[in-house]
Amino acid sequence: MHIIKRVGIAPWKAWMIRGIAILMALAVCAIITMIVTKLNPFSVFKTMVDGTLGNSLRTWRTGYRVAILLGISLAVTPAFKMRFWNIGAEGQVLAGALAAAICMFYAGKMPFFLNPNISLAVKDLIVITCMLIASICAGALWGFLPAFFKSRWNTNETLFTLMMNYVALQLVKFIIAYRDVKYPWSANGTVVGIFNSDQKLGSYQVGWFPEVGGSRYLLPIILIAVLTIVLYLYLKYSKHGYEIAVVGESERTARYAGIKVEHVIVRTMVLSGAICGLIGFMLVGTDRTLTDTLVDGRGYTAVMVSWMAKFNPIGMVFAAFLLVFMQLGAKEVASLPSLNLNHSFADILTGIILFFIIGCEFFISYKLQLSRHKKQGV
Amino acid sequence: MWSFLVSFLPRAVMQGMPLLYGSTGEILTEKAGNLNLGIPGIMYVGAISGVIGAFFYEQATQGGQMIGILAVLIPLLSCLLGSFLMGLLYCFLTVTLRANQNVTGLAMTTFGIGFGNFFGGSLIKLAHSEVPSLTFSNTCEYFGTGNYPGWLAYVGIVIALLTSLFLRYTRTGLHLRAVGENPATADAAGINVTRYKYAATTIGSMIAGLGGLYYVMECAHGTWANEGFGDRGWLAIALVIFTIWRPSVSILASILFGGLLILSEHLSLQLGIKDLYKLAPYVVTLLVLIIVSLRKKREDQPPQSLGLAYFREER
Repeated sequence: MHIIKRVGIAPWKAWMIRGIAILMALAVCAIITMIVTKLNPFSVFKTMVDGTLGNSLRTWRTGYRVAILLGISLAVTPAFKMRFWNIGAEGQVLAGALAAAICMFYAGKMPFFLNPNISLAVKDLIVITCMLIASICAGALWGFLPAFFKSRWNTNETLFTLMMNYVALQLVKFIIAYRDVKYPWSANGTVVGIFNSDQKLGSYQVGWFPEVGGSRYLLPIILIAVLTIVLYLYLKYSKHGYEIAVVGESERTARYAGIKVEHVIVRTMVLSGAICGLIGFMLVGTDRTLTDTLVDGRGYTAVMVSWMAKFNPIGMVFAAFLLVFMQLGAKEVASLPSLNLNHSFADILTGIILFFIIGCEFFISYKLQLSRHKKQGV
Repeated sequence: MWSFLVSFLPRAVMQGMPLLYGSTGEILTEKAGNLNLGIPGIMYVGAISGVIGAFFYEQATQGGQMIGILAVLIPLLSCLLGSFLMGLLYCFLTVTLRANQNVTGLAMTTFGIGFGNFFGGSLIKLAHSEVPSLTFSNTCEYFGTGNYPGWLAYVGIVIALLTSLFLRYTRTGLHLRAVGENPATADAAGINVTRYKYAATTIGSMIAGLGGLYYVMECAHGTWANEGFGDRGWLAIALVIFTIWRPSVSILASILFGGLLILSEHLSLQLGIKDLYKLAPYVVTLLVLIIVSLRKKREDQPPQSLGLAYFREER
């Protein structure tokens, strides 16, 4: 048997291979689910659909989760296209969320915002602008640090961003448990309630994302849809996007063409981090609280979504939907009263799907030749 | 002061040992050029596999007399088998199928942690336990007393020392490092790159998996609770950088990290400040990472081909 690198592959063929891989993965998942639950696969599938899209509340929740995962995946994509292995989205989102939460929390304590005579719209305008700026700056800082050291001294970015995740996580835990003499964040040191939720105070609802179209989830979904299109255009048609692609293909070529590689690396990572910070802002604005499980590993899942879709923003929509559907669906199956399984069942199924998709890329890049006679690959 | 050290030091060692196992395994893997970010997942799988073995052996004896050697060997072997299979999966995807190592590793972590928590949860249900955890007090006796590091800790130190010697002084170790630095050159010199990568990664996974078992049997006094292992897997990876890829240094460094993990419990601090102390291992690792790259000393750098798949015809 001989392995040959493919020169190129028709896009429909590549997507067909991925489709087959996903079908095979789903078949394996179905078999495992059958063994574990002893239900027939169709009723399991029905439960999954029911759990994700069963009623309007669930559909909104699914849409929101897809949007957030998509948003984080979009954020890491420019860096990946540059072959900068940013696995620090988790930390960048958390940093943004933390900054936004601090703005929301302290705004609720200031005399200006407590004054009931000032309209909510004015307060919101000020607080939400502050939250937006603060979270973007925090995310950008978390992205800037590894990029700066990478561009100057070639510090390993994978390990750097990984550590930054935990720095952000511990900071969030610290802030949540922090006992400010005047304004304690939480009563018991573990859970922060909904910010600005006291109806009697003038700061009621300050900094909350407005409900659009009857759901608080619609606004972030719209924002991320816009972001998807903007990022698609940015990567495909802008000069910056072109520079990112060249640096990703070959740093030497980029240098030779007069592209300032260090500059591109820092700029792209600041952008990447800033978008992550923006997602953190949306999470806090929509959930109106801060927890240490706010991002819940989605920063890592986003890496896989971005990679699965071959850095194509449109492909990411489907990849994000598939993973969220499996996660929420499997959770629904696991919590059927007749089964009452552990929720981690969803992670096992997600893992299996990922393994298949990761494995199938081989058959897209390479061709297996079974014949014995020697034939050189082009 | 003395009494503080007497109570603190053994606990620091016990907290450090899972990290030592994890980092030794990861160093071996990374020296072959494989950046295995699946280590947290592998440690979970190692732990739960051992727990499954212990669970069924305890069930089989029904509280009667347990045979010491079996009580140790069954969890140990099932732990090794579980983590071996995870290492094999990682190798198959990254070496044979040349998949991206970062993505594969992250997927393995998702899968491994899910696997651990799912089977942990199922066993808890099987045992009709009232608390959300499982205790193996009988099996645990064969692993250690609970207040001082047991024999598995010394095994960990010996493994770390042997790995260090192996990498530095043996021919096979030299070949392994060559594979990690520049697989094309190693290949040209007649070294079987694929075989080395497979061997180093699966053995590394098994060592890391033992760390999971150690955690359950000694740190947690034979108790499995879901999510109990926490993010120690990532700390193990941090330790690899902190020790600049040296398992022998890792012995002391892991105790330092273990100490930092529990230091806040021994000091009477405010709740929030404790979390700031837990920041220390990560910040210190970041500083080491930066300083190492600033100094540009050759022998302190990560293996050159770390994270890259090797395909002979792509040179």
